[in-house]
Amino acid sequence: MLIIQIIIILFLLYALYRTIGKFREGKVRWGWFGFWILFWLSAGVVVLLPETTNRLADLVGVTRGVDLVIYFAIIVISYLVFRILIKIESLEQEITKVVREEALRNSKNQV
Amino acid sequence: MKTIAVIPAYNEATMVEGVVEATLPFVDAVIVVDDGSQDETGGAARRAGAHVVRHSLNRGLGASLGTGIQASLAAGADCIVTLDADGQHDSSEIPKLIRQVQNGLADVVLGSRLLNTRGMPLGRICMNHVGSWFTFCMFGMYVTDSQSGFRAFSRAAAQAINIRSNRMEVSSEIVAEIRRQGLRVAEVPIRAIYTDYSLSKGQSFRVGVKTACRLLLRRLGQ
Repeated sequence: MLIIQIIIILFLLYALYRTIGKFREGKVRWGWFGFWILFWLSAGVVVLLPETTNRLADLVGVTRGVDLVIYFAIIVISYLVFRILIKIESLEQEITKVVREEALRNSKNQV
Repeated sequence: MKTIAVIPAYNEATMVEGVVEATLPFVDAVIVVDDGSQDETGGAARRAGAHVVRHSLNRGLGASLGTGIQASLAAGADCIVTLDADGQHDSSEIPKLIRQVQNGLADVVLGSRLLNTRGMPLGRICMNHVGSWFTFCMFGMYVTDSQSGFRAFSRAAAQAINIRSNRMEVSSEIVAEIRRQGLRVAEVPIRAIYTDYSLSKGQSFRVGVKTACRLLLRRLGQ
């Protein structure tokens, strides 16, 4: 086994441990818990059996397995960033709602 | 017809008193939304005779307009005028702005600087044209000055419009809402008073780019 494989496997084990911990604390919902477990396990399979990516790449018409992994990673990261931006926007609106209600309550009957 | 002016203000202690005093003769009441200012904006507005609604945190122009409109509706306004706190708008033009709302000819009246560009810096003229065309591409409605803060709404229009934007993209969102709600809109030429101070408070190119990105995100999310 290569050193880089060992390092990545150790990181993936840590990521699994943190994901399970956060789920137990109630900070991660079922759906996302399932997604992340699948994600870390899939990453583990790819690291331990790199030839699987070559077989998958052949299946979808990409030359090299590592290219397929990169394409997939870019798509996943872009989608996650999009979701995060949407969530931030939603939080901003909720903060404004709370601040507005407080402001209007404090100024009631003035106008 | 009860007319209330809404003036969103953030750190405008030096200007807001004069703006409120200039506005009061033309409306029944002035509401200044103090958007979490760190200076004496609220106190200065009160001294001039405005009713002040204060945000405990700075939320942005859009949030302040939403708060001001809600306060005005709760106070029984039949017509709501919005204008800037930095002295860019000439309050004596308020009657021109609200006339068509009072006569029932329009639901929303937008003051347009681009119908009378005298005294307007060329850079601002270009940026406002870009802003208006961008708003048209995003939301399918063209007005000559989509970024103008000098507006009048009928009560029904103010109730219908749903402002979700917090920051400066609210101007384009209002145009989008006008289209979405099928409101009757009119434009009147207004004079823009440009000083070094009001120019420093307006949308710079960098802020304009950020506003455009937020609008794009909002459009994609619809």
